[in-house]
Amino acid sequence: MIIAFSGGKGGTGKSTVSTNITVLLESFALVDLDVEAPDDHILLSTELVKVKDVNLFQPVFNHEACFACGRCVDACHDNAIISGRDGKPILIPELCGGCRGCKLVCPSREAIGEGKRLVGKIYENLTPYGFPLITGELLEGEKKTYKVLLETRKYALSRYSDLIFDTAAGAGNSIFKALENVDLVVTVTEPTPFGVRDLQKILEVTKQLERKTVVVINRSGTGNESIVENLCNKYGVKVVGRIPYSKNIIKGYFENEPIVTTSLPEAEIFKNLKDRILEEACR
Amino acid sequence: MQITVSSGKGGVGKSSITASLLYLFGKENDLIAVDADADTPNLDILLNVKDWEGEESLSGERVAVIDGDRCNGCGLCARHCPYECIERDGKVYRVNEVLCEGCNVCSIVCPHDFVISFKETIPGVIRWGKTDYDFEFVSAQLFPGRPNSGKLVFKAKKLAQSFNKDLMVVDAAAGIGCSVVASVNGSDLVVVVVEPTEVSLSDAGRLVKVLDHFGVRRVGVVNKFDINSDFMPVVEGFFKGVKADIVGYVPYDKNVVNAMLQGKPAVEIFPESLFSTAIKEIYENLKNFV
Repeated sequence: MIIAFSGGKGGTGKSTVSTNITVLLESFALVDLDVEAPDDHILLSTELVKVKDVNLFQPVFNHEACFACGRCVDACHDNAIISGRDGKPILIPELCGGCRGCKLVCPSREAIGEGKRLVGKIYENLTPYGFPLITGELLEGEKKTYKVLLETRKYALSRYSDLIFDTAAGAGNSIFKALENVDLVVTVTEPTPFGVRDLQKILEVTKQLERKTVVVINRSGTGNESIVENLCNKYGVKVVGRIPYSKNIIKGYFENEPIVTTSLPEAEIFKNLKDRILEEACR
Repeated sequence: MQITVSSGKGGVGKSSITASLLYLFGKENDLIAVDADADTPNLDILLNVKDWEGEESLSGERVAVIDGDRCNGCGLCARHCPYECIERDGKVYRVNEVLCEGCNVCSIVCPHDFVISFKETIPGVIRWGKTDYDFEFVSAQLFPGRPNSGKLVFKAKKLAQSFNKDLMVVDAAAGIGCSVVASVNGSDLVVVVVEPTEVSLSDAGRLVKVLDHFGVRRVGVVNKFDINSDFMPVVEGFFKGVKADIVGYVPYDKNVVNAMLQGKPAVEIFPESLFSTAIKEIYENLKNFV
C-alpha cells in the first residue's frame, strides 16, 4: 500500500504530518521525495547513508569512429549537441538531459560511448523509530529533479511494499509522477488564500490521475476554513482531519521530536488522523 | 538590477515578505515584479492585479502522439522513454501528454514510420498587468502536473526585462531545481529567507551552494526569529559561514495572516505592526544595494 502526502503550497506541514504518521504506523517505510529539499531525516534525527547514485546518461563522442552524419545533432531535443567545424559532434554537458536519443540514432557502433553525469543520490537508513527512511537528493546545481524522483521512487518500490511518500511543494511534473498509482493522496493544507489556491492545483493533479484524495487542514483555527471546505466539496474530497495551531506541535518540530512519541494531548489528534487515513486507504 | 527572494524551504514566508517589500520599493523606484513560483504562484493574491493586460503561452513545446491504429504494441517506446510517460492501453501504447517533454526517443525507437508524430502543447502561460500599487507585475503560471517550469520562468523574466524598468524583484519557488535556477540566474542580489529551524537552514544551505555556482551576492532575512530564539546563534553562524549579512529580523506576527486573508501587503494595512516595522528596516538596508 502506498499513501502519499502532498499539498501544493510549501510549509503547510507535509513533513511534520508524514513523519508523525509513519512513526505511528510502525510497519511502513517513509520515502522523502522532496529531492530538492529533503528534510525528513532531520525531523527523524537520522544520519543519511548513501545506497545509490543517480546518474544521467551522457554521450562520449569518439570522433575516430564518427561519420559526421549529423544525425545526433538533429535528434537532440535539448540542443546539447553542436556540430564542430569538421561536422563532428561536440557536447554541451549542462544542456544534456540524458535521453539517449543521440546514441539511438547513431549509425556507427563505436562513435558514441557510455558516459554519465552524477545528478543525485539515494539514501536508505533505519530511523530511531524502527522504520526505514529512503531519501532522494538532487545535487546542488543540477536541474533534473524529475529523474532523481523517478529513481528514488523506483528504488523504494523495489525494496518495500508498504510506503509513505512525502512530496515537495509545487504541482509540476515531479509531483504528478510522485502521486502516480498511489492508493491514497493525503493533501495537507492551511486555511489561507495561498493554501487554498495551491490545494486546488493538487486536486487538479489527483483528478487527472484519478487518485483517491483526502484533505488534512493544518493550523486549523488560524484562517477561514469554509473556503477549504467549499473547494473540497467541489472536488468531492473529504476533510479527514484538522490539526490545530499548537505551540506543542511547533516545539516538537523545532526540536526534531515527533509529537506522537510524547504524551501530549496533540498526539491523540495524530492517532485519530492515522486511523482515518488507513480507513480511507483501505476502502 | 535584479533582486531575487528565495529560501530553499517552502512556506517560510517568502511571498508575504516580498509583497510588503514590493509595496515599499514601488513607491520610490521604477519597478517590475515577477512571480517565478510557476507551479504555485500566489503573489498576485496580495498585489491584486485587477485586469491582466496580456497573456502569452509558452510556445515551442511539443508532445509525442502515438497513432493507435498503426501501433503494433511492441512496447519499445515505453521501454526507452526517459520520462516513463508511455503506458500500455489495451493492445497499443499511449503517451501521457501531461508528462511528455517532447524528446525524440520514442519516435527513434519505433520500428515503423508514421506511428509517432508530435503536436504542439502549452504547459503554461505568462500573464502581466498592473498591480493595485501602480507597478507592473509578471506571473509565470504552469498548468497542473506539467514540465518545464524553468523555461516558463526564463520567459517571464525576459518579458519583464522588455518593460525596461530600473529594478526587477523576483519571488522564487521553493526548492533548488530548474525553476529556482532560472530565478536566481542573472540576479545581482539574492535575499535568502530562513526560519530559525534546522530544516530551514539545511534547505537554505543547499540553495546557497546553487548561488555559489552563479557567484551571486546574497543577504539573509530571518522570519519569525522570535519563535525559536535559542536557535538564533546557529542561524547567525550559518549566515556568517555563507558570507551573507543579515538585513532583517522579522518577528512572528498574526497580522501577516490577517493581511493575507484580506489580500493586501501587511505593510499597507498594518503599517505600525511588528512585521511592518521589520520590513521597513529590511527595505532601508536593501536600498543600499539598489
